[in-house]
Amino acid sequence: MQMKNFWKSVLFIFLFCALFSLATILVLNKTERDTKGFYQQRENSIDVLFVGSSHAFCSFSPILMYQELGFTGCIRASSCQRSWESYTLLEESFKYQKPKVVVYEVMSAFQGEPQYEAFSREIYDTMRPSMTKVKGIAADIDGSEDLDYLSMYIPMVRYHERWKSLEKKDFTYMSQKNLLPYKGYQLSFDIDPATEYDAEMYNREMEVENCTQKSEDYIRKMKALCDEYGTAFVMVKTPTVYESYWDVGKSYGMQKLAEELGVPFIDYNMGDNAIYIDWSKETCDKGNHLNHYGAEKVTRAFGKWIDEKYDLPDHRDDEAYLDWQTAGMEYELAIAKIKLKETGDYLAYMDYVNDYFAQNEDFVVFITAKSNILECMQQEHTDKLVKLGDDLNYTGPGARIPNIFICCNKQIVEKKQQSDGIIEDYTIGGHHFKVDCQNTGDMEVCDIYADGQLVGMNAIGLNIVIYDLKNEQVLDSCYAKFDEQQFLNIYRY
Amino acid sequence: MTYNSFSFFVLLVFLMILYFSVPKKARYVVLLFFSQVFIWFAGGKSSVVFICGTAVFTYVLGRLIVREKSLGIQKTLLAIGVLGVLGVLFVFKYKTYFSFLPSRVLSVSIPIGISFYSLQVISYLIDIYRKEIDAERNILKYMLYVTWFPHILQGPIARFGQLSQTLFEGIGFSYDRFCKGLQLVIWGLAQKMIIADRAAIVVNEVFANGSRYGSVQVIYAAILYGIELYADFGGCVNISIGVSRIFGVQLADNFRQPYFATSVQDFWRRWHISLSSWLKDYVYIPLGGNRKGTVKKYVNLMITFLISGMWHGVGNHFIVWGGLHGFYQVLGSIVRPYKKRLQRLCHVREDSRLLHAFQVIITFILVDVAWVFFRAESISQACGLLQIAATKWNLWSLWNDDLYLLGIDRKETWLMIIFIVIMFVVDYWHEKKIAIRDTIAGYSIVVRWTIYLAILMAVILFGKYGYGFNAADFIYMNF
Repeated sequence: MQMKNFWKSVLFIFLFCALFSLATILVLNKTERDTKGFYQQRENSIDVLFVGSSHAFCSFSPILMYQELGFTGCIRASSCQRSWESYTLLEESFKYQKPKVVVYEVMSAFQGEPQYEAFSREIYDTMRPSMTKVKGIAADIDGSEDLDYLSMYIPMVRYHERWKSLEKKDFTYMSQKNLLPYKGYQLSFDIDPATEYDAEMYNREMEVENCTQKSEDYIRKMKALCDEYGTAFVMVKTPTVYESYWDVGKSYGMQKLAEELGVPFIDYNMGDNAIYIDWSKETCDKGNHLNHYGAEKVTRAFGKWIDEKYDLPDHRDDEAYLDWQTAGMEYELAIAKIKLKETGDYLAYMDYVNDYFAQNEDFVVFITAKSNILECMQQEHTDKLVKLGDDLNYTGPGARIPNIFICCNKQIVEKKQQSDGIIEDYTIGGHHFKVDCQNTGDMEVCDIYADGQLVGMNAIGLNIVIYDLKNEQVLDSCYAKFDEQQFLNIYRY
Repeated sequence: MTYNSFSFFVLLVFLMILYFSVPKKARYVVLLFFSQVFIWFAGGKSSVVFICGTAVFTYVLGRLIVREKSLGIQKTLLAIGVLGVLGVLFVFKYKTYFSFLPSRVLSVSIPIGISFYSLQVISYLIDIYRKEIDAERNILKYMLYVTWFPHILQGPIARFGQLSQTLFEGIGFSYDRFCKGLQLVIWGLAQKMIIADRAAIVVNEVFANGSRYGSVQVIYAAILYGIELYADFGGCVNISIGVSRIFGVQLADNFRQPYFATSVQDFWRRWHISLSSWLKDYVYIPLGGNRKGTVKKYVNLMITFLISGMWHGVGNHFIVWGGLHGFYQVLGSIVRPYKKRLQRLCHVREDSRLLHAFQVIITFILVDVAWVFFRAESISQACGLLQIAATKWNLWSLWNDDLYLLGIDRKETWLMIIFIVIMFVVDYWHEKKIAIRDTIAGYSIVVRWTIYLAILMAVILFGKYGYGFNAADFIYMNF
């Protein structure tokens, strides 16, 4: 009887732990940046590992390096990451990956103490339990008033109030397979120019500024850890003109430390390696971080250097790395999604539609038009529609009869023209769409509904609606119209 | 450390492991040691010193009273003990009035549970004097009686004769007792953390800024304060009894569905039962009780409740609160014959459900009005709030979102209401003498465990604790 009760208790505790873990996962999904995606990477598949602060995840695109040079990379950076956190992440990463090179973005050496709670949680909330985590949390808590052991080890204590904001997507998040789509890179197209920076800031003479002893100790520990695993250690400073965070003195300090450690220090702000950044376009926050345009420059420069220096393998034709090709396509699609919405030129716009969205099962493309706009189009314009699959066989000039063309995943869903208007229902990818195009004399209105929601309300020229089936939202809704110079441009409502 | 803190449960696990591993005879020593650890963490070193000092002082007096044959000396010893303990209690409670004392003395923080253990040791001495109990010979056992950690913060105020039966026995582990104790603890936590601590947010806001609000908000806060106290005190009692039960210790019942009372007199038979019976046995009856005529009975009632008010806290508003309860009872006694006559005239039967419901509601209203004085910082604040409740009508606040702007939003408010309903349904079953835990125990394991896990997860997810929440002490802990 006693044994039976014992096993009953064990089972109850097990069920409770399972429920508790499930609930913890649910509330943790609201944390914006976390470490779950790293554990999804195939073991020993990463050639270059990046650690450091936000400057690392804003400056290096591992997928771009893979596409252009063939080696793989993963960024384990976090906001305001401290060097002891970089060390913890490195130690944890070595359990799963054997990178050939570890790249340390040195901004974190000067981040100061103590760590803020939110940034510490980016690292530890979803890190797997281990002594590495215990030591890492202890290093963060040391001197901090924000952090406490209990809630750092049991995040539910901190996040249980999130039950109020749970959404449908929180329940599906845990089953998502690709939680690190860009391998840790933060894709940003935001432009916030640096207008008040000192262009001569890296030409000034300054004293050497050393980082804190704690930071230095952990950088040395990182180097020692890399030596232990036979991995090269590289220190990098990515471009920034945010003087309160970085300056010449700090660069000298890192240069000095790198020399002591016998490792390369690549400084993209000054000296031989400095690269030109257009601070009016290539920063997302007034010169502190780079946006995608700036990151592309740094990625290409650094990728080339590291590839030559360490003779990194090319996995582009390696079947074991097919997932990287898929990741590359997703990366391009993500870029296309942003660029599509920024494009004002009809031809470029239709190229994106043709290359990324018309042949993707996750998107539906609706094109509605007055028949007479087709009359005005030139061959190069109509070719883009033909490429979509539209034979443009509509009634002749001046008919002003509504026509509609719908395609998804290279298939034509509908091609129709009706003088008294078109009111039709369609089910595409599990979603219900309704097209309501009416010919009311001068005003032709074409409403498009997705699952009962109005997603397109077009009237003028050639109207285009691209609906994202996966995220259940309109990707873009616009119309093409000739301007006064007879250029066919894209306009948005 | 309080009964709803993580460290308390860690301590409890260590205590359980050690308690059930040592020989039966030594178990009370383990309980004593852990009680001191708890008091140290909860109230600091000074609390341990004061409580142990009080225990040693009264232990010695108890032994002397037993040994002494002369009634006069016994009386003197008793008076020394009672006055000594009350003196310390009085100085600590009213130390703001003792500014002439050295600052070192004034700076000593009030020992936790002083109001409770003081009454406990007084009852011990009086019971010895009355020869109702024998003085405990083993000082460690007596110290355990005084410092037993599950009741040190909020009671019940245990009598030595009752508690000693199970406290020193070192009863072995029982799976059934463990499960039932744990169930009580979890239910107590749910009451405290889901209901009381959530209601406290609204109550604190309205009581602190009453003039900003209208009658709807003030009445809402007053009702919520009544519920907060109910869930807070009831929850603590459940935790205390549950923890004690795990170790086979039987604590006296201290809380029996007080808001189901049909009169204020009935309310005091259900609310803080151990305090009521202490006041009855050691104040009301020694004053003469109801044996010396109606007027003297009323005077005794008023004195008893005024003392109860003073015991609860420092400030005139506590005395008014006690006075109100005394007045309610005196008035209840006076109008009782007229009430009966009116009932007969209206042909309302004694067992009428409608009458019962009416009495419950009226009792709640009377008690809740008194709670306003109990919660307020002063008499004028309480009167101000009652004036707002009576005059500043803003009924539209019931339909717009005004009630969700008092510190807890719509979702939290409705969650709290759902759990309040659950709490009262459970208490209604208790009232109907339905043994809920036994009923649940009769269900299949799937249903049973689903209920247990649901309550446990509800506490974890919906409880108010952790970052951004200033963990509220149990209210009675401060008395």
